[in-house]
Amino acid sequence: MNALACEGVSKSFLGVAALSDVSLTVAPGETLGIIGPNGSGKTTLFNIMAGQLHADRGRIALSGRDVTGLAPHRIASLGLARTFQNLRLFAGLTALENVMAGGHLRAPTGVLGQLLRPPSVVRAERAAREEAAELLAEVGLGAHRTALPSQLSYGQTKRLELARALNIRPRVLLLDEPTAGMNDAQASEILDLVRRVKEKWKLTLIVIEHNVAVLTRFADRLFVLDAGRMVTKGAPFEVVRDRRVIEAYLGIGAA
Amino acid sequence: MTASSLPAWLERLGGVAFVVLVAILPLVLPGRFWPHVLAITMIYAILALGQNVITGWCGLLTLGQAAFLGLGAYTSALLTMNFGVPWPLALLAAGVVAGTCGALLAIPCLRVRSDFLSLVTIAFNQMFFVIANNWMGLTRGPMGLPSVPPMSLFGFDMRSQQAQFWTILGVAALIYFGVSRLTSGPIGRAWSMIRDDEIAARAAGVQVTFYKVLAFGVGCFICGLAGSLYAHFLRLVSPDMFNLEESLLMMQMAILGGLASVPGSALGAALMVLIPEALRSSEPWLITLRPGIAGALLVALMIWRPNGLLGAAGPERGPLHAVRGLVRTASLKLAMARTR
Repeated sequence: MNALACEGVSKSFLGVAALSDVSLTVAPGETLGIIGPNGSGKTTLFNIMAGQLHADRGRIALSGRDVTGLAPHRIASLGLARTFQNLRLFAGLTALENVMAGGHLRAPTGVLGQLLRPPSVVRAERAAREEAAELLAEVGLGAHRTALPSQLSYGQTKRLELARALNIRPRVLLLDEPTAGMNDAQASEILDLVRRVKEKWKLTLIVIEHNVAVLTRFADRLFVLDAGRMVTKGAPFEVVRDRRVIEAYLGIGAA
Repeated sequence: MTASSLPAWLERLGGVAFVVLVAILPLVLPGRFWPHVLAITMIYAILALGQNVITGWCGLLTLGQAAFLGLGAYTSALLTMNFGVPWPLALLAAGVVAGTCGALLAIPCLRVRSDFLSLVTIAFNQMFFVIANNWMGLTRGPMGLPSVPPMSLFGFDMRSQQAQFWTILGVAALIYFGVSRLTSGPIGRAWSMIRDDEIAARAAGVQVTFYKVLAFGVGCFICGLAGSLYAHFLRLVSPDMFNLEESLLMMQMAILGGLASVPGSALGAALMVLIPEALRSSEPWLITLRPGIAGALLVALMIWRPNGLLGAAGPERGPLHAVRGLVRTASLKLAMARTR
């Protein structure tokens, strides 16, 4: 069974087609890279997979279960987490609390329980705190528990967002440009981290990247979007030699 | 949930010490004036905290809380006067009625955001005022409900000022305790997540609508409890006690003390009640400066401490980074409305 499958997904905004008839499947444990020029619909596809947008047509299935039209919090509870292209951290929460925020679905949230705080509730909160601290250490932010996102460097906030997404305990993780704005050294550092956590939690990854060179080394398969349509898909080294891909990036005639 | 530097047990100890200290005050203060003012301050501290739950933690700019104060006050007064309901039950009923109405109002309101939400809640406040002012059969309109019975516990009426003072202190302490528990756990975290970034909150599994309705319900429940205390302490309920001016005052207290800060709510209420009363008791004409002072305070606050007195320092580091724009707008509106 596929970890995630999109079938004939189409979406238009005010009559402008952002995605037309996009179908893709990702096997459990696989890393799928999605590349394409600006405005080709990559992030729209992510938003539809995660439930932030609803497709006009087509279906999404998560581990064989139809999740088309479900709200984002329902999809999260079914095992899908994502990071955002331009970071969406909780500005008023500390680094530790930001990671704990990812554990919301496992937290006891009954009002009475929170008011009376029986031992089970106290234990759950302490466990959540410890798990979040471990995850922070895992991404190399162990020393920054009480820092607010605004006090962290750009690279650190990227790691923090990854830790928060991991705390949702997903089976499928969507990463939207994890290395955007980084130099090569920083990029390979964060990709090493992603590779490590992928092995550890047996994740299925879907990664959007601008840096095609980085992704050809990182992904098992590439999926190329241009103007909302699939151009091609397949093994990274075949895909990047494809004339249509080069044209999509560099313009007609470049090949 | 502000990034506090104190360990939890020390905060708890500080809270208990503060309550004990306040409890001693009516024994040592001479006369009846200051204990009375302090009791009013405590009621406003409850109101500021209710406002803070909705605005400070959940980030919803509601400006009609006086309507829920009024709902609580009328519910409690009418139940005790017309049906002989014992006061503790009437107190609870006041909270439940106000909380339920708040949650119900929240459902349509959640379709609009920020500025529009404040307009809808202002409209609700005005509607409440008009109804209370005109439904002669129930509220006696502008004449109000005089001779509301005093608070009572286990059948004993509390006629002494000290007994009333301690009862109000007890209720306020319980509410402050409850809110600190709610806001320091997963529920408070979910509220803060919604305030800071709704989309990311949803992606992390938070049912945003539910938590917004919950914030309204809890905030208005607290407001309703304060309404009951208010009615039975002043022994009087009339519509003009619940006009928009009161709502603005609550918002101002919450912002001044520090949004998303439990002790900040009490500090904001104390400043906004005690300073004017101190002015009044020294030179009566000074009270006319009150709106101007309040406006100036808010403007100064937005420049130097945009997160409120007990909010985190510095504009870039504050826990309320996300709602700062919202708060600025609100403060400006408040400053304008209050200096009108």
